Amino acid sequence: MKKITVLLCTCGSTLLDNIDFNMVSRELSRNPLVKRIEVLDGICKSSIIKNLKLDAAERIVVAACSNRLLEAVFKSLLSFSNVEFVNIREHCAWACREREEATSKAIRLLNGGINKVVRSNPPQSSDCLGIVREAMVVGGGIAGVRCALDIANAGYRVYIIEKEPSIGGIMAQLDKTFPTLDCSICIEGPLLSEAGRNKNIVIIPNSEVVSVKGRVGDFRVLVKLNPTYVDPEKCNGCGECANVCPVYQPNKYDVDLKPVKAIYCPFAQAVPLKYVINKDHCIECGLCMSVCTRAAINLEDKPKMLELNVGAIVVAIGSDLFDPRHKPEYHYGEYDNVITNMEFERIICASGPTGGVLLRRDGKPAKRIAFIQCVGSRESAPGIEECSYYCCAASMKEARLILEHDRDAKVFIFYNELRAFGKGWEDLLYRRCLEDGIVFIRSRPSEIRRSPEGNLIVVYEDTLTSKRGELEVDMVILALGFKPSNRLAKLAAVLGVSVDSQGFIEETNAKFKPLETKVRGVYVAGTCHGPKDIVESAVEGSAAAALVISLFRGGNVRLSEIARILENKCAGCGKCILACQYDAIVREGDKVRVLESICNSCGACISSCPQEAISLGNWGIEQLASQISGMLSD
Amino acid sequence: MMAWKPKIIAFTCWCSNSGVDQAGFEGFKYPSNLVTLRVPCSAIVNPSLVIKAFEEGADAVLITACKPFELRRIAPSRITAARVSLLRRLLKTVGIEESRVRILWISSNEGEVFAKEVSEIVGEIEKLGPLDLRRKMLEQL
Repeated sequence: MKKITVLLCTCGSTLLDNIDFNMVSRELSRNPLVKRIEVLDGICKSSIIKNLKLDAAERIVVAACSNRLLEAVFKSLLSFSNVEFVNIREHCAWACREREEATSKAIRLLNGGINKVVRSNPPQSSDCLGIVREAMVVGGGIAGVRCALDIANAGYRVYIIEKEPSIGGIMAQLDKTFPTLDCSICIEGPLLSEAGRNKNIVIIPNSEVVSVKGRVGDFRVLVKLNPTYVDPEKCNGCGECANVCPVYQPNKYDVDLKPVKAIYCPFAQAVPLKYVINKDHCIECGLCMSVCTRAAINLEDKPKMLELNVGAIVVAIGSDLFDPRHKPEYHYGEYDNVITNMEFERIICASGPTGGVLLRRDGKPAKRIAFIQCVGSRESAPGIEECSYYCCAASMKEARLILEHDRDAKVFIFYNELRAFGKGWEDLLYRRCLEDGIVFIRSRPSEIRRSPEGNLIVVYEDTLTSKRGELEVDMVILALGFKPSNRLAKLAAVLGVSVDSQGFIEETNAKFKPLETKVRGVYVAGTCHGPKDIVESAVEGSAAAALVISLFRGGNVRLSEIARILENKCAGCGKCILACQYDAIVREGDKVRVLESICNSCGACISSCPQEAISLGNWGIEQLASQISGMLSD
Repeated sequence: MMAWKPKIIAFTCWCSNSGVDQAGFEGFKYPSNLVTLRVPCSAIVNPSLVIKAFEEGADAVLITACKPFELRRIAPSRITAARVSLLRRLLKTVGIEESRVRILWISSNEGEVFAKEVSEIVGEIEKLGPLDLRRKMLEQL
């Protein structure tokens, strides 16, 4: 009985060099199950599929590229036909050294596909699920805030989960932004307060995601609210408490350079503007309680749990910066005047610890300053291999800031390659740096030494002239690269998304699905997805918002096949309940039931069932066994 | 007579299947006598399917799965790991070398790792020689 149509795709003729399609067709035509073979030039062109006039009742084997790319092309056919995808591109043509090898492997793969599809059952009518039209953005940096605002402005409720007392992220800590040298918090502040005022946005500060259950359209997220010891409902941000608090502590916002009280608000533009207590430093004297007219302070505050039901999740938790202590040759933390670029941003900021004057720790003004680029980036260890994207422009910006504050200062930048590729970076940054007399030295310094007078000596080899040199400066600023944070790995595991070799969240496809993750309904934006600058982070925030909105506007989500239980076979042993990693199977009477909205179609339950009472589309033992024998037949 | 080459079947779970895709994308080559069979999750691979593959002439079976710590809950990879270790012990009792059933933890970005590991595994199986389970079973009768 001939009943199978085989579609072979040459991928725009590019696979002809790798696979002998004539030979494949000849082999397949000998198979009694095959009715029709078509060799096509690019199956992803919509017109080609239309012209084929495929019958809905047909069984089809498509041999082309990865199923991840093909499923979208065949979406309309998949719901009623038996279609089996065979990957002859990534798994075969591109993975084999010789043409003959690839050809025979393609035939094996295709025989497997044919054998499977002949045993397949037509898809059951697709289940449609309603979706919860509320979103969650994890992380309130510039990417997260931009994303939340865009979703909220489209009319959907958004929860921002922020670990710090205020949203704002790294951008709130910067003094100026490149390339235009405008004040960072002055641009971000209004955006933060817009987010704070927006009725559709719920900001949940001091919180973290603990667990996530469910699937696209219906996630159940457990959020832990860390105690702040101040009731945010009652606190009006007057600050009387901080006035009387007798304890000082380093402020994380000022990179520990400027003290705040133990009851504090991280910065003036904080959103929400609520005070919090750091219990590590609080001595529980109770003075704050005595002055708070609204009785907002409760020193017995405990962590709380909150369950939220959302339809989509955007991960925008950002990244950490590389810890320069891992590069002992630069003596960070040992030599006072070796500082990080983040510390520099706070020092040069008018609201920072020195009121914007570039002072060394010994109180002397810094006149000769050197920047060292690529600290913790573009090297395999101890940093990451990737370029950190932002630091060339940031150091040029910082160099110009130094000169804006002090025309007599002398600035040196030790670079590897100067990467000024962004809009306005060449013109507004690099050229003006040259005009200002900033000295660029192509080198990765090998060591920083300290002179007897307390100055720093940078030891380097200029790689343009191959000459060694030593440069005496007052201060060295390390341009730190991005590093994926430990929190990121934890959150990725909770969400079930994967991370790439550097530790950043991995996208589905770097080119055309750059913000989607392995888990449907979970998107990514900002630096947790790879190093980038403010502009790029905001762009990704908006783009992720667009994805969330199109999910919400697109109507109900159609499910792929879910696990089904044959009631007459089920003995109610409950082994499947233990096997399901999504808690999608529950006991009902003496049988079990699959919760449709939670099942992720993984099939772990099928093989755990001693009664063979569970089925999942065409992933049964019958189909797979048939596919195996096809693949191994000679 | 062509030189004998082992036949190897690899059950690739959804995520590690992307890792195999990645090997192709990045142009990492590996022996062509390994064919991939995509499954939604490694835990769907019933041990009977592994036996079936040996019966049909496979010389080794590979299961590629998500690294346990990358999952929300490690249940499926644990099921797979437990099954494979049990199956290996069982097979040993009937004279099938343990190393013919393999498990490989592959993330969706680890194309290079996949290609490298597979090349090594194929080399090992080549040293073991053909399994030829069907002939052995007939001899037993």
